[in-house]
Amino acid sequence: MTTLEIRNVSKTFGDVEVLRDISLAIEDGEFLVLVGPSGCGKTTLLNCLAGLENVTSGDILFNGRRVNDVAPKDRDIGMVFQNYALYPNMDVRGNIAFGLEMRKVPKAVQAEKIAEVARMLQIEPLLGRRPGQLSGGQRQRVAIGRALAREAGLFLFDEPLSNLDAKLRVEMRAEIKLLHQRTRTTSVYVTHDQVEAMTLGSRICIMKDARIQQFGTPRDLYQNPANLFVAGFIGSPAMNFIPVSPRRAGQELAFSLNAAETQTITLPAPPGAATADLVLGIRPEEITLAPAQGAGEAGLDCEILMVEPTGPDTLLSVMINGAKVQARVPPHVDFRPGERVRLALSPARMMLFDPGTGARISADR
Amino acid sequence: MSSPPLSRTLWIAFFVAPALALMAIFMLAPALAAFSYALYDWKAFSRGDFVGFKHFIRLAEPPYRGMFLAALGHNAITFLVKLTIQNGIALLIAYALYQRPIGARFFRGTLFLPVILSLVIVGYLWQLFLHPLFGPITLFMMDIVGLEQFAPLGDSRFALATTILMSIWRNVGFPTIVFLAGMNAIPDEIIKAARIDGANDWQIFRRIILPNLGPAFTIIVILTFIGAFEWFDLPFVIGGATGNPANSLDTMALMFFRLSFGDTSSPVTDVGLGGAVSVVLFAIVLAGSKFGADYLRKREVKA
Repeated sequence: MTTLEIRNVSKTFGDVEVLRDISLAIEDGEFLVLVGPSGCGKTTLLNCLAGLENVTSGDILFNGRRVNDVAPKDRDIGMVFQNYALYPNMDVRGNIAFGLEMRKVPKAVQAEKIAEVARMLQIEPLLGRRPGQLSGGQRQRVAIGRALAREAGLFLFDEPLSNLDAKLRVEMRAEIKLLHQRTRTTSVYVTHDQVEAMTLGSRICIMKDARIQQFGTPRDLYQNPANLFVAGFIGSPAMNFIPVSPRRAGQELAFSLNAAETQTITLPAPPGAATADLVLGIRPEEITLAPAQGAGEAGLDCEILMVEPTGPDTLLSVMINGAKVQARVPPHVDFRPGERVRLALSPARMMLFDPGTGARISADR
Repeated sequence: MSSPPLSRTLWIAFFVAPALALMAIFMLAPALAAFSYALYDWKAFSRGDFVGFKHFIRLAEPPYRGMFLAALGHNAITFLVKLTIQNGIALLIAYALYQRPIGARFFRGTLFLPVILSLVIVGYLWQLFLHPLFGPITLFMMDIVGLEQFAPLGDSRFALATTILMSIWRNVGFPTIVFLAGMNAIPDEIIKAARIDGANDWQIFRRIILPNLGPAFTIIVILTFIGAFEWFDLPFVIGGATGNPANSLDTMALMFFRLSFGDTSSPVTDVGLGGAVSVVLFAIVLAGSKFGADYLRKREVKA
């Protein structure tokens, strides 16, 4: 049972700033995902939470208590590492027991805990084996079991699934989610995979360049990205970005999506928005097939560059205003490259970004 | 792309042959020759009659039996002392360096420096340090500690121990580097995991680091064994071919050398008996290394 608060945490290694003024708080039982590209500082932040690294400034609070100077072993945490970090010289039972033994848990209780965890993770047949005799997936199960047996107040996961193959990764992801639903232990999970972040997190903290880009629920990040980076990072296939040059028309911004200006779009002008060049963002699934010309509805006539059937739907690549754009359309129409297609881009689904700062300038939905 | 197995075999033979030939000419042939020498009588270096195992029987009888057992005993003592003290010190230093103290690179280099010094230089250097009239260590022991006299290399009770200490001083850098490499090969995450599991430094050393140094221990124990049982250089530099004072530095290798090539006090050579010593020495080292390596490997952790 742990609430977690991070207050204005900064961390530098020599001249290199790895974390800059990070602040966030989560409730007891939440699953926080720290996600971002390599080198964004997410693993350093996790190590600071574990006490394996010290923060340069700022405070970390567990249950409202400042833990900056508390040793890792006294922080009541369990940690799962990317490379499993199992003790090679001990069998699975020994690996799970080690933390209990160090905390002087009576032998009988140890055996009970090990049995319980082994049952939960279905690793009972492996208890007598050494880590070297286990597959990657089995090792990760044992590593999770080791953290679980301790019944820590806070679980830290450092890219636990990165070393597993794709199929196993999806299975283990589901298992971690189920485990969290069952135990409700506050967890912090580091990954660079946005799908893992979206599927696991109760809240997600997106980081880049030592800073928080956005902190919110998965739905929040998907529907209301704060900037170009978040918009492009979350969602697969990624959001389309189309450069536009709007004109101000009263309370509205008007712009065209092709040179012939056959489709002009007007959006409510955000307060203070300049009429300089902007970036229009729209997700692939929000571009739909438009009825044939002359049916009265607006549509954008495009040439198909590439067709990628994925099964449940098909991705069409077209060029709009000089940008490559993907549309996610139903799979039952047989498109071919070189053909023309009419697409509808709903203004209600569009977002505007400042190309200089990357900041979102249109209102939340 | 698939080449016929025969041409592949020929290629392999082509690359292996030079190394194999060198081994045969310079290692296998001399070893077999040494064994054959033990089976003949010799006048100086000219071979006489075939005498079968006569020299081995002579070695098992007085006076050579006592001489051989004493030498073997010195080798065994050397092995045990170096195994525990030299490697114990090396392990401690390696652990200290593993913590990356200030100047770790300097200390690592300094510790390894004597290893690249010639053993003859090491021997003379220490003889100077311990010189009974003006050696700095001698002066320290007499003037500061207050001993009447201090000449451990001239005293048959202390000569072997002193020479072993010199050898430790000279060689301790090697196991240190091997242990340090072994420690650095343990993934950081494992140490972090142990720390989070609540282990303190001693528990991490005892339960995580030590058990994972298995391969390093195997190689160091075996090399210490071979080095101690074939020990020749320092005793020869300090005590000559007879292992003075009073044969207290005699080793099996020294005995082989003395019998085969003579020494300053008796220029008589006995190549047949020397050959017998070398064969027994070879058998001891081979058997010891083989059983030692097999036993230690079994104990290593398969990661």
